[in-house]
Amino acid sequence: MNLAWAPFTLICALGLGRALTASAPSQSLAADGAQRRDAFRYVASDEAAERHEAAKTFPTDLWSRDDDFHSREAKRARDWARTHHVRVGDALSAIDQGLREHWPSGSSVPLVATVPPCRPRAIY
Amino acid sequence: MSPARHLLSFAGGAYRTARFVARDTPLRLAIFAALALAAAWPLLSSAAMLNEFRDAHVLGHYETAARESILRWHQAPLWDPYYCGGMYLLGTPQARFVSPTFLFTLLFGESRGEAITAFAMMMVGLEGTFRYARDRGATRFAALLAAPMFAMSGIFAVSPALGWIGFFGFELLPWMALGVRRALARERWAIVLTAVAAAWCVGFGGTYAAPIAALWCAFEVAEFAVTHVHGQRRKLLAGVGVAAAGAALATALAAVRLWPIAQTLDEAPRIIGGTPGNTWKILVRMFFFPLRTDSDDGEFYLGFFVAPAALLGLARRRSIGLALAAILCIWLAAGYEANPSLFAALRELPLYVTLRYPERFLVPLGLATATLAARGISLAEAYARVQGAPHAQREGRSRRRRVAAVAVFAVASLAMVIGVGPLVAQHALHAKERSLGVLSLPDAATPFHQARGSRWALAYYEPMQRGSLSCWEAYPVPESPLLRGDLPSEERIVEPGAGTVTERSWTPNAIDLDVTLSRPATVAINQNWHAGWRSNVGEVESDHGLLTVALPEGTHALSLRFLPRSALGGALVSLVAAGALVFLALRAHRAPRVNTLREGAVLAVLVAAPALTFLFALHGRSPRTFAEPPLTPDGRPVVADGLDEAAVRIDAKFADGVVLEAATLSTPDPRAGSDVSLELDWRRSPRVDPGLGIFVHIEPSSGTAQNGDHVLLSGVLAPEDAPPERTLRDVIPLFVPDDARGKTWKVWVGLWHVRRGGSRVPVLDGGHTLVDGDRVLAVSFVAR
Repeated sequence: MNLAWAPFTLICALGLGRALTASAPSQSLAADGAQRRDAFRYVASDEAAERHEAAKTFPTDLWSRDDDFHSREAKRARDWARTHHVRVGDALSAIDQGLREHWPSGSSVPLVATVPPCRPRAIY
Repeated sequence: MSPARHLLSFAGGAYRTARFVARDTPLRLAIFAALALAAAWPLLSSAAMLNEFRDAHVLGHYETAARESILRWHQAPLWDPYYCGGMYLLGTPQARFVSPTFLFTLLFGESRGEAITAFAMMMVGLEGTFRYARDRGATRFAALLAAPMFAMSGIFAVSPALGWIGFFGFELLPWMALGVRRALARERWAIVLTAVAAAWCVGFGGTYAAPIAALWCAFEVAEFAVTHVHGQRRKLLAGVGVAAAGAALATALAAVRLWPIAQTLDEAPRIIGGTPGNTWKILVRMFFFPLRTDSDDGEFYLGFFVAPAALLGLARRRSIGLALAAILCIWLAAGYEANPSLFAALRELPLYVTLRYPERFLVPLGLATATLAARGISLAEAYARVQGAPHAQREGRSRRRRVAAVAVFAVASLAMVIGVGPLVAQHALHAKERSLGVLSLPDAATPFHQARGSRWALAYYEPMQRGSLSCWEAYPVPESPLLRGDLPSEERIVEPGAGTVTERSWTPNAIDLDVTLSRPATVAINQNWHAGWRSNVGEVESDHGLLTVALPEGTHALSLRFLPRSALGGALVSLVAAGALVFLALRAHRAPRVNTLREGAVLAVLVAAPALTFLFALHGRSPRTFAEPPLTPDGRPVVADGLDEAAVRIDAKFADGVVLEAATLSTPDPRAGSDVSLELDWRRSPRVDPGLGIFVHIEPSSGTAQNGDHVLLSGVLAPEDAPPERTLRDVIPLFVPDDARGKTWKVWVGLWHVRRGGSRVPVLDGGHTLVDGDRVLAVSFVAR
C-alpha cells in the first residue's frame, strides 16, 4: 500500500475501532413473572386516566389522542423499569403479554387492543 | 528576532504547510478524516447505545427492519410487518438503506452503523465542499479552510441527536453541484458523478436533501445559461444537453427508490398545511449563534467566524451567482414571513408541496456561504501575493499597503481556522444532550405477533418479534382499523365455522398457510393490504385495508408473496442505468468530453435505455386496486347523496363555491368530561380552490378556547378531491372539558387557504346562523 494513505487509513481505523469497541452500560436484570405482572398493572391501571388526559390535549383529533396516550404509556413503562432496575423491553413486553392474556389491570375501563389509523397532523 | 517576526515566521510556515496539505490528496483526506473524527467522536463513543428520541426510534427501525430482512430472513427489504401493521419498506420515503452506508448497518448493527455513517458522511461532505469550492475558483488553501464550514455545520450536529441521519444526504449536495457544473462543461465522468451522488441522496432518505439539491442543480444550469447566452449558443445547448442526460440517468439510477416512493405517496399523499415562516432575527440566530437549549439557535450553525471571508468573497464579480444563490436561500428560509414569499411559490410545484420547514434552506445557504468564504480567502491570498511580489516592491508600492493586504488575508484565514473549534464543539454539545438507552437482546425463537405497541419506544418491539400498530409517519400510512394487537393467531377465517387455517411458515415478504374450508371463505391476515401482495390460489383483497384472501372450498396450501411491480420495475431500471453509467465511466478515460454530434447520439441512446425499460415495466399487468369509499370515524361514507334527517340546516355560503349545509352535534346537551362528535356537512361546487382547510373555534363563555382546525374531511378526504354537488360529511370528535359544566359553548366554523397563504375564505351568506369575521356559528350548547 502507498504509505501516503497511511494517516488517512489510520484515522478511519481509529473511528471504526471506537465505534466497535464502544460498550453499553451493563444490561438491567430480566423481569421475573411477578415483576412482569406488576409492571403491567402499574402501566395499565392508569390507562383510562392517561387517555382522558390525552383527550384534553387533543380534543378534536383521534389519532393524536392515541399517539399522546402511547407517549404517556411509554414514559410510564420506562419509569417502572428504571425504578425496578429491569430492562425497558421487559416492561413493554409485559404490557403486550398482559393485554394478550387479559391479566387483571386495575383499570376502570377495558383496555383497547386497536389503534386509530395513522393521520399525522397537517397543521402544527 | 522580535516576537512579531517570530509570529510572522510561524504564520508563514503554517500557511505553506496548509497549502502543501491541500495539494496532496491523501494528506488532505487525512486532515478531513481527523476533523470528522473529532466531530463524530461522542457519537462513536456511544455507538452501542440506543438513541431514545422518538424520531430516532422510527427512522432507526427502518434500518433495522431492512437489516433483519436480509440477514435473518434472506429476503430483499420490501415489506416491514413490524410497524403500522405492515408497510412498504422500500417505498417509505424516510428509510435510508438504499445507500452504500447500509453496509455499516449490515456489518455492525443499526446503532453502531449510524455513528459510523455520520463519521463517513462528514468526510464525504468535507472533500465534496473542497472540490466544489475549487471548481468555483477558490485556491486549494481557501477550499481547505472552507470545507468544514459547510460539512460540519450545525445541521450535521443536530441531526444525529434527533436520529435524522437522512439529513447527512446534504453532504452529497456539493458533489451533485460539482457534477452538474462539470457536466455543463460536457465532461463524461461528471454525468456519472451527478447520477451516483443524486441516487445516493435519494436512497439515503433525503426527503429534504434531494429536492433542495435538485433546486441547487437547476440554479447551476440557469447560471451557466445566463453566462453563455450571448455568442456561445452551441456550447450552451451542448452543455445543457449533457447535464440533462446526467439528470435523466440520476433519476433512472434512483428508480429502485423513486418508483416505490412515488407509489406510496400517490396512495397516501402527505398533506401539509399552515404557513410557516421565520423572521430575519430567527434566521440569524439559527445560522450564526451557537446552540442554546429550548431554542432554535445554532440549528444550522456556521458561526460569525466565516463572515469576514464571506464578505470578502462578495467583492468578486464572479461571485454574483453564489451571492444570488445565498439571497434565494435566505428568501426561501424566511417562508411565509417574507412578502412576497418565494417558499409559497415553491410549494406550488408538485415535488415541493410537501415541504414543511422553510428554515432548512439554511443548509444550502451554508454551502453558498462556505464557497463565498473560500473565494474571499482566495482573493485576499492573491492580493497579498501581488503586493508582496518583487515587481510590486520595485514599483515602489507602499509598505503599508503590503501589510494591509497580508493582514486582511491573515485575519480572514485565522477567523476560519478558529471557527472550526465552535463547529466541533456543537457536535459534542448535541451528542451530549441525547437520552440514551440499552436494547434487549433479540428473541429469535418467539413467533411474530402484532402488538398495540408504541412508536415512542419502537426499537424495543422488533427484537421481541412484535409489530407496533401505534404508528407515526410524515404521511398517512394506509392502516386498517381492523388490525388488532391481541390476537392469539395472526391469521383467521373471517366466516365463523367455515374452516381452519394454520401457519406453515412466516417471513416478512412470504407467508405460507394451510387452509381447509368446508365452503368458500376468506382468510384474514392481521396486516395491512397492499397492491404488492399476491397469492398462488384465490384472490388477494382488501377488507377496510386489511389483507385478506378469498378462497374456494377445499384444502389449500396458500402462499402469499410480497413483490410489488414498483420494486421489481424500479430495480430493473436502476440496473440498466447502472450499466449505462459503467459504460460512460469506461469511455471517460479515452474521451473525456462529449464533443461531437455522434457522441451526443450515443449519450442519448444511453439515456433512452433505462427510459425504455421503464416503459416496458410500466406495461406489465396492473396490480389490483381497491377503491374503498372514504369513511367517517363512525363508519359511514363521507360522500352522501343528501343530508341525514336529524341534520340541523345552516346553508351558509362561502366564496370559492363551498356551502356549509348543516352542523349537528351527536348529543345536544353533552356532559362535561365526555366525548361527542360534531358533523359538518359541506357541499362544494365543481370548481373549488385547492388547498382549502377548515377551521373550528370552540369557544366557552369563560375559560380557554379549543381549536379543531383540519385539512381533510373526516380525516380522509381533501375538499378538492371530493366530488362536487354531493353532501360531504366531515365528522370530528370533540372532547368536552372537565370544567365545561354550566358554560355555554359556541362552535364557530370557517374556511381558510391553509396551504396557500393562510387567508380566510369570505362568508357570502350566513344562511340560518350568525356570521362573525368570516366564520359562522355552527352549534352552541350548554354542558351538563
